[in-house]
Amino acid sequence: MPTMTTLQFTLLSALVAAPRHGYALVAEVEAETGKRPGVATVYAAIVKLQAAGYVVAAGDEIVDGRSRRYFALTTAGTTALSVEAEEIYQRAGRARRRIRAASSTTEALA
Amino acid sequence: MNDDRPSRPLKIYPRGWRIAHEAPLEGMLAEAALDHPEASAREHAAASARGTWLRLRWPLAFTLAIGSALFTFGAIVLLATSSGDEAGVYVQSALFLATPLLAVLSLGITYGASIALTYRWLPATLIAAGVTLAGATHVVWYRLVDTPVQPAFNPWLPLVASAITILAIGVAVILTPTFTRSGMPRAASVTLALLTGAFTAPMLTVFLFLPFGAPLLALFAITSVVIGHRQSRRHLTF
Repeated sequence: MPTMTTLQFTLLSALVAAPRHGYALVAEVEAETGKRPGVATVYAAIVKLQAAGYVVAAGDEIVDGRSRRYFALTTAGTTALSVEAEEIYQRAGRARRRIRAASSTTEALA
Repeated sequence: MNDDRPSRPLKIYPRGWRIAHEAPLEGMLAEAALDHPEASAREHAAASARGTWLRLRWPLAFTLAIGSALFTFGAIVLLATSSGDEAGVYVQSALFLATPLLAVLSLGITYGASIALTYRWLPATLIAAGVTLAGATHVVWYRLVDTPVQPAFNPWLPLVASAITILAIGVAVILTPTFTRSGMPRAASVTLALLTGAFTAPMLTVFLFLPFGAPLLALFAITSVVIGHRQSRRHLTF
């Protein structure tokens, strides 16, 4: 059972390498999932992750008169991401084993 | 491009939220408008909708919680000041149906507005449905208990069985991930969660049938909303 949404997982994953600003995270989610998320949706997810202590604001900058807030992963965020990634890996493994078992049964019957 | 446009949908957001988050979200909307001007109207509509919900959710949760307490209070006043079957039906409906329903809806909104990362719609819906059905069961029982000619089909038993079943499944859906995360195999987790649900659901139903169940539930809803609101402000989620 996932403890976070796919969007929250993708955002945490995008912050592993380095802190990123909000709009860069929107672009990152689009690149990762192939689907463009709503800006307000992404920002709401960041706020939830901040409240959970997984992400912190890491400074603001002004670019062309627009405010950019950078976000960074916390230690708690890294741990939560590792746990979630491991769970997804285990579930994927179980699904692959079941598919292989079903395929071999079908082949045996054929 | 009109530079003021990205700030327009943010005016609906609560004041505290705007102080904490307006500048970065406005910047993100402006960058999105430059990259994808065709999606600008959709982005602004989505931001407005989210802001509207952020503005309404706590007042709505408070109103529902206070409403549940008022129904309880009204039922007690009616009970103390009037007699007769008609008043009895109103008292039963207010105490055993309206109070728990409003309290559960208030708790559902509070949970959604909390800092929990995910909202679990299925158990929340099941618990709300189970509580409502249990309340309806009590009202049906009250209507039928003094009826001289009992109907050929008494809906009380199927209703109470349905309420208990729905509540049991709701409890099981809540508990299964907790057991799974503790390292228990999936099948064992589901079995244990179902057994726990089957054990607790009848007790929960009996609690809802007790005269003090509704006031306690209303009190719990008000307390939860107050605590949830404070927590939300502390974490700047508003």
